[in-house]
Amino acid sequence: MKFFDRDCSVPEGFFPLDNASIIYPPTEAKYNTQVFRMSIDLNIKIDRVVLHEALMDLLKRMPYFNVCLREGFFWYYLSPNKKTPTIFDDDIRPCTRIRKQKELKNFLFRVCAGENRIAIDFYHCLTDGGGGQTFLLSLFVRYLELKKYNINKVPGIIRCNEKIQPWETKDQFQSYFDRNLPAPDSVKKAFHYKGILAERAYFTSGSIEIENLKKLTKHFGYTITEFLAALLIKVFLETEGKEKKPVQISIPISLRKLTGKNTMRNFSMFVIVSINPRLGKYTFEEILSVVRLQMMLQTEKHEIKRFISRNVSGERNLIVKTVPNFLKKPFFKIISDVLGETQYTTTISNIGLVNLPDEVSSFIERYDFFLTPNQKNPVSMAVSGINGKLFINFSSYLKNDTLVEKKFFRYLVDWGVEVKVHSNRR
Amino acid sequence: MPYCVKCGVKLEDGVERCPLCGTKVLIDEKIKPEPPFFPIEKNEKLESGMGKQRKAIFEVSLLLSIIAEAVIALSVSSSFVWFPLLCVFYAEIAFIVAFTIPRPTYFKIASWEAILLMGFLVGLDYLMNKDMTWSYIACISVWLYWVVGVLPFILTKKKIFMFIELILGLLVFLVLLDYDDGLLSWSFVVGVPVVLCITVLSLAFIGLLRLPSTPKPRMTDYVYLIFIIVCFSIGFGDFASTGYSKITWSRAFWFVGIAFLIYEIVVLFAKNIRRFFYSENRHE
Repeated sequence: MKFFDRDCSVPEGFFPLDNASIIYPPTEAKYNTQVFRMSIDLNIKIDRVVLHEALMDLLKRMPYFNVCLREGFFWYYLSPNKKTPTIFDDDIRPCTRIRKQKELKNFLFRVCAGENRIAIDFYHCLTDGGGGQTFLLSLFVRYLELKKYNINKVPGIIRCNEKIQPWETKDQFQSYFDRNLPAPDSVKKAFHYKGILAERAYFTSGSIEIENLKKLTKHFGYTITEFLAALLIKVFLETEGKEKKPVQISIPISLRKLTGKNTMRNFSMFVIVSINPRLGKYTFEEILSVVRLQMMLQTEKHEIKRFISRNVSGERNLIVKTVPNFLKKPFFKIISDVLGETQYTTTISNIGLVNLPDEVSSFIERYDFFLTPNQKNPVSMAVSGINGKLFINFSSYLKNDTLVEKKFFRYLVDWGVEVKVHSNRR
Repeated sequence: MPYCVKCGVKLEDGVERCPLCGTKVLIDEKIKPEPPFFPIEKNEKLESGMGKQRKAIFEVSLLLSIIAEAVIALSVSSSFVWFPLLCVFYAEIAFIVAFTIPRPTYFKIASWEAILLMGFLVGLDYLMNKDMTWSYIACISVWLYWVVGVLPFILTKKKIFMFIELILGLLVFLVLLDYDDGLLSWSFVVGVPVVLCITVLSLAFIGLLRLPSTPKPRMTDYVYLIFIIVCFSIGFGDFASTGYSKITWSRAFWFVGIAFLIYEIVVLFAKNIRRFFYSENRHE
């Protein structure tokens, strides 16, 4: 019965996808790469040979990352990958497609090494931001260990000498399923920012001192996520013309802290914060209070359970279970449009401030997180922070349109926050 | 450390323009530029393939066509079963072509679809009759659609070319249609003169409407002018077909055309009369 054992700790030929990632493989397409990047910039030079050794050690410890994606008759599934991963140069654009790339040897992640940088692109099927962060930091700590640095206990990472734990591969969504819960309320169609799409993604990164931003958020009395989400809503409300559709922002929330359960696979949900411009003009303070209220309401534990139950019930539906994969594929695409992309205007994902002991964090200068936007919502934003600095990374499919990024950073500058901007728009 | 004077943000050393607003940055040549945060991409990979929505439509159509083919094959027992099977197969190929053309434009898709449709019609005709019978007329009709409905869209910049192309296309269509039986019987006698009549009248009316003394034409003006062209061209067709000797049945068209022409010219140029028909002069 190993084939259908959801709690199996080590993949043995067949490893079912977690509930959140079922939707990813059939909906992967141009402008829907479903890839996110996490990278650290260091103040030491990277030794590629040692990094490769560290990666191999880590993949032995985390066999659930040493996998490839296969298409079964009924579902996609993960299967162990016997090949050896390659470490790529850092001249690859962040978040390029991972599926069906020959040079990746079917791995669902791409490790890139620059002179001072370790960057990993993850296919979302493998894990979410929380799992990706653990993998990246574990890799870095293993690298330091191999470089003979003395590293003591680091919270939130996995050491290669530790034993594999059952929680690491567990699909935690399943434990929150309740058949009797009603489905979440339907969400209105959101405003979508339109523009000419480029054949590639562009990234604009703004780095700021957290202290400066905290002064500002304290002035308003809100958290950084609430503040940035409200500012992004304000920017989109200003760019919206006569359409007057609600500006809805999707904010992924890691369920690890909220539920107290941990996993190395996907375990996050998203809340949708909505402002309807038809109700009149909102001041920034009003937007902030709406964001706080809506976030609190949607992260309430009964609401979370309702949200998870809706998603899991789809997977457990008898018809969905028994229909072959090739018949399900187009419908997954339509579902992901109706229940996903049409519902929000943009995404803002805050991975949060990473707290590491000085012996590790003293090497790290930057910690970046990049998302990929999609065709309907061509601009998205990811936030990460380390060592008193916050990095706001915009990703965009728009060809020559930087209006959103420009307005966003100009507001921060107007409010006295110093921003340093980097971009691959040259 | 350079700043953008418009955005107020700090920029990387060595950048020439602000990535947010494109404002030029004054570069101090003494400062060594730092390595860019986003390294210059080698072998820049572009996102290829179809978008999600197109993929979904493509897959659904493929599924439906497979189901349709299976249902037809299992339920139709006649020897003509290949006919519906071929039709569904053609529909699916047409769909695939429409959805897989790289950088699709209306011109590209419509042109390929027209070629495909002509190929299908000829193939179908040949399978049924072992010869080209009805498919000749069908094919030149498709070709007319391409000439009238597709080609003009890439000639929009030079309207005169568009006009010439349309008239020439129409003339060639008439000649090809006449050549169906291997002889040119009516096209040069009636078809070409009628088309020329339409062309001359159209050009004359366009010139008339463009005169500086002509008031701003309304929709009714256009409708009447087209009606006049239709009347005269039918009359001219009759005149040409009876050997340029006498008018037979089309006398009424000539009279109606002349009556409407007089009315239209009077209404266009006599302000006092025009104001009874159009609101803009009524309150002067």
